[in-house]
Amino acid sequence: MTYREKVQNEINNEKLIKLWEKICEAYEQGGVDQVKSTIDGRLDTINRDYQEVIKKLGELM
Amino acid sequence: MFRIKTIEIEGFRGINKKNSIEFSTPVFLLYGGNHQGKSSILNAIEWCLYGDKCIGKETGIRERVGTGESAWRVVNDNADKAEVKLTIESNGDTFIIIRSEEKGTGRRGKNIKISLPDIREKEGNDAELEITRLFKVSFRDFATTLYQHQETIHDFVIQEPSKRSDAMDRLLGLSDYRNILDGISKSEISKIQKELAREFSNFQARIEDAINMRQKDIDEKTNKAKEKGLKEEELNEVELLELAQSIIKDVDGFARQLGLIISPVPTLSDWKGTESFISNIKNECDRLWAESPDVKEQSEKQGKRSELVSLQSQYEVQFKNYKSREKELEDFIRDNGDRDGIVNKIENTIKKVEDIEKEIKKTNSKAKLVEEGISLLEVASPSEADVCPLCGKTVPNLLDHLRNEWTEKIESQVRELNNKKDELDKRKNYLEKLLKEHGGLMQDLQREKGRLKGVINDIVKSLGKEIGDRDDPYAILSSEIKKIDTRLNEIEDAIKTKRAKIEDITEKKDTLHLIYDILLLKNKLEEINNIQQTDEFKRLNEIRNNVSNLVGEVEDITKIIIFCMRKEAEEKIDLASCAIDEYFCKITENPAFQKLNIKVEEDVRTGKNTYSFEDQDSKNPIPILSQGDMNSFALSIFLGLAKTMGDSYPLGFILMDDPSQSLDSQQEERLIKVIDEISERKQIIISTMDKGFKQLSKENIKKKKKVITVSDWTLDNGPQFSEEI
Repeated sequence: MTYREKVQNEINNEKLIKLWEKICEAYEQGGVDQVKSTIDGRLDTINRDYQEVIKKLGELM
Repeated sequence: MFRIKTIEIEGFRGINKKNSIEFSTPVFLLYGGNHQGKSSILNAIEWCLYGDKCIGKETGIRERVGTGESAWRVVNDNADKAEVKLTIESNGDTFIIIRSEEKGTGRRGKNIKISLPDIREKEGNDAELEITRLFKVSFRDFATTLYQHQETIHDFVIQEPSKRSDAMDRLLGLSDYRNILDGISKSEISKIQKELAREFSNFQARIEDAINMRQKDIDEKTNKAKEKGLKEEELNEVELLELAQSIIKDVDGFARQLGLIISPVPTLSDWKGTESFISNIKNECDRLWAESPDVKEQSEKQGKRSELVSLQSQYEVQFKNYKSREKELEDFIRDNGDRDGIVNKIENTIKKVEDIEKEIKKTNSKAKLVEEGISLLEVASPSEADVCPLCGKTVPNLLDHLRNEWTEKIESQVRELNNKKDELDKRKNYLEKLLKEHGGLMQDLQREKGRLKGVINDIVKSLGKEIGDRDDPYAILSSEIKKIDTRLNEIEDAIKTKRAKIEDITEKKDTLHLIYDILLLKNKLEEINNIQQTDEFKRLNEIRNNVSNLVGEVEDITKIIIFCMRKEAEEKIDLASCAIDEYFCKITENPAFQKLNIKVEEDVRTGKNTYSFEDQDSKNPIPILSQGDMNSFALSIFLGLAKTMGDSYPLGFILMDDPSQSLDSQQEERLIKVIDEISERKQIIISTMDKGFKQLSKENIKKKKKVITVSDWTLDNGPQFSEEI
């Protein structure tokens, strides 16, 4: 069994399995740095949304 | 069992020109110095089987990491293409794998082909799948149990626990876990989560500050309203609208009082329109006030009064100027006479000058005769010396007499006349200057008179009536101003009550504004309080939850990776511990070590595996292990894993790269014995630069063996291979 399968077998949550698959794909395509980029990339959108909402709320004040 | 039969290498790493080796014996030694191309032969076998999987950081092999110039380059620097042909045999069947890569062509220039015993051929991805199907060993397991890289031995021997743990992970084939953990730890997810939390907390603080500020403003305005006599319960919209209605009534009443008609002012129906309502009321009050007859007259009278006061002031100044000039002229005339007097004096003086000039002329004629007589007598004979040359009379001592006459009478007479003339000239000049001065004073007086007349004309125009020469304009103006003042006092009394009405309206208007300010502040306060109920605020919490969830998910996965990595390490060590122990004791033959246990633990900080070692007395042997012992230990782990796991794979060979790097000669000899044993069941290909190890191998390995010397490496051709039996 590969590392990928071994970790997947320990996960009992669909959401985590999807995240793990994404991490594995990133790792197999671009190694360590790609893993970092994939996780940070998911935060980029969230962070953008967050800043936008904070700005709107600031205007309300 | 698959065993390697031959390998042909061309353009691969250190080997440029095509070269081949036949692996015809169970033990095969590649011997040569540093940088001669030994490792390139082992790398060629690995690359032919696994291609790009054996390049990059994920291999866990340091020299395979890097890009550009520092990259682990497949194609030789002097070649355009790398090609490795590997012939593998199993039970009489032959499999030929050819892998190639063209320089600088990317994925397009990479190819793999496998020829199967039944003459079928597969290429590309099909060939890769066929290789996986046949050999059933992943690259990671290959690198752990079939190919002993020199770097893992080297790192293991280094006396530094973290590097040794890295090397252990590589020996155990756990680099993927480690690499992924590195990738996750490099991510900025936790940092961003903290930043978002900090921003959220700042935003909440801003809300609190805004609430406190608004409440403070409301309190201040409420106190002000109370000072005006309002009760707190009156500070609401109903009261505000009633007050607005009352103001409209007041303005209407005021208009009636003035005899004017109120313009339509929109009724206030919503407190939010208060500012506009107040502005309309103010404009209407201003208009009514301006159009009130009393106010109009008051304004006109005030204007007229200002005008007359100004004219009076101008007249006063101008009159003073005129009088001042007039006095200057009078003083002059008193001192110097009037113009005619001065002119007469000048004419008299001119006449006196003319008389003197005549007298001077006459004296000059006489002087000429005396002068002539003197000159004639001076040259006359003695007999004629006393005879006058002009009249013929004889006068004793005539020359002396004439000379005396000349010096004493004529000269003094001429001097006296000239002095008189000079004085008269001075007198004439002085009188002419006085005449000029008189003219200037006259001009000044006329100018001031003209100005005074101008002011009087303005007064006549302003008053609309003539002013006679005997009239005093100042007094007339004073009288007119007094009349205006009397009228203004009458008007002021009349509009006092109207002004009081306007002030009442203004007061009500201010109260209205105050209530409006309070309602506005309360409204803003409510809006701020309601921010936490807005969709945006809910979205903010949602985003924070999403980040927390993502952080939680990544943390959960990290925990699972750590768990799996440790579990796999423990399983592999459990499985191979007997074999590791056995090999270690065989190679070292150190009586101090009868048993060697390996324990896996989790690094508290990084979560990665850390390894500890115990001897039969549960003591850590590392401090007393020599480098040779450490080298033996690393080899034992590799060989232990190769035995317990590698034997289950159909690939029947082991590749060992510089296995004896820190071993002493006795350990080398014992390693050779172990290799001899292993070669019973596995083909062994060893690369070494150790001459002693080569010699010992030749002498002590009982199986058939072959030694190929790899030497004379050049940039153009690569190494030369020569065989030793």
